[in-house]
Amino acid sequence: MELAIPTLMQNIPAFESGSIVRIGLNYPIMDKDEKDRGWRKELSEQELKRMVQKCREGDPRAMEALYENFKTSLFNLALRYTYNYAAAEDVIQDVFIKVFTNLHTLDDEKAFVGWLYRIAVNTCFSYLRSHKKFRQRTIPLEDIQGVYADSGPSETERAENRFLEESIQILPPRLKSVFLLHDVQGFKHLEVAQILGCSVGTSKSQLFKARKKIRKYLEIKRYM
Amino acid sequence: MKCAKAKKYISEYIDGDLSRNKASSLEKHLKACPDCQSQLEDFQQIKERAGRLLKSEPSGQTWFRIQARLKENTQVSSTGPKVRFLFFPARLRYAVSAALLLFVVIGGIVIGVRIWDRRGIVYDGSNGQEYALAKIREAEEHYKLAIKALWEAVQAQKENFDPQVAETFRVNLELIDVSLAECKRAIENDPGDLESQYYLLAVYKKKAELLDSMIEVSSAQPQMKESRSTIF
Repeated sequence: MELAIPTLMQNIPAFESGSIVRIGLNYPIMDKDEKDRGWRKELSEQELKRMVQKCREGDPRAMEALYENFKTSLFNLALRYTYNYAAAEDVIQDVFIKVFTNLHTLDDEKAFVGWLYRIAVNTCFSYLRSHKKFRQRTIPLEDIQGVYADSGPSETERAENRFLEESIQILPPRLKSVFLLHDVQGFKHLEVAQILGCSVGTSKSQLFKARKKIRKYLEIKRYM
Repeated sequence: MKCAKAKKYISEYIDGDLSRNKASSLEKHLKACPDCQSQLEDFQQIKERAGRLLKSEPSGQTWFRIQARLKENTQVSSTGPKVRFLFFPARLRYAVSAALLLFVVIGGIVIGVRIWDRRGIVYDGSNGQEYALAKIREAEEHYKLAIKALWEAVQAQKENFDPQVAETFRVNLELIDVSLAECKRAIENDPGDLESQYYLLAVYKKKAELLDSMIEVSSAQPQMKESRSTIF
């Protein structure tokens, strides 16, 4: 006898890029041409400040709006540390719990973004520390369900992305952090330095080293 | 400028962080040095590709999980930051608790039945299969009661549902009801078939779980009262 149960969740309406997803088990993919650098596109400094103030007061709508604005950027950051969807989801849950429960300790709303990403990076590191045994298991992002859609990039672009993802994955942690924040997330060196608690010079030199390592890896793979 | 220095400056150059003097010396060097020029192009390509790497989104459930955890935190600790969320109304808490208690009872019955079924244990003069069937009937009744309680809880919360979410749940509930009908038909054809009976219980369980998650979702979005759903 065949039951309808296995198909239960397949009937959930298809996700649309950019829409607010309220329920579902899949991972929607953003438009590949969308050069979205997370919060910058969505919020002005003033809007962000107001939102943070409202979150501090416990306004649930502001909290959800804040989550909506940063979720993609933080999820992708976490994904490139953990290379595991479930783990990345756990990480961003932890990040937002920490953020909402400690928001009262933040003195200046202007420092919110740096504070948020510092929490995110630290949470990623702490996840990696507590899951050391899984660290050697390298899973290319494209092998994880839902990352590359059929309508996504061309074969060549997929291969390029794959090798770039691999090269990011094998970077030493500090170099990876700088590269992810600067080249992938689009932060400036001053912001990267504030997030990671290092000097601007260190951020620049680590980015140089990261790019050099990535270049070397891509040369070996003959994609450079 | 020598190659060693030029290579160090290239990274800052493509980010626009190099001073004008250094940038112009580097540009002069690049014109005469294919090796450094190649590094420049590669770095530019890496930066450009990194910015275009595909982005994924977390599942739609993540925000609800965060809300639920925040709710737990505020329930556990009355001190610290105040995060205002609406909690289950008391009558819903009772309904859900009653349903959960019934699950425990059902779980015990189903496990017991399976053990008896496997061992073929004779109970009270009847054979093992008859006993198993009777217990399955009992479990079915409990499931029906649990589902009834959960359904009432869902009905009480129906105004909180986002119409899109409500529609998704409605489709899934329909699927479950189709499965229930299929199971019942199979049991009618062969009332002694334990496998069909177990399937029936599995479908009841699925329905109860779905109703439970509906309550969870509706309670996590109490602010949506203005967008009322008429699905249920």
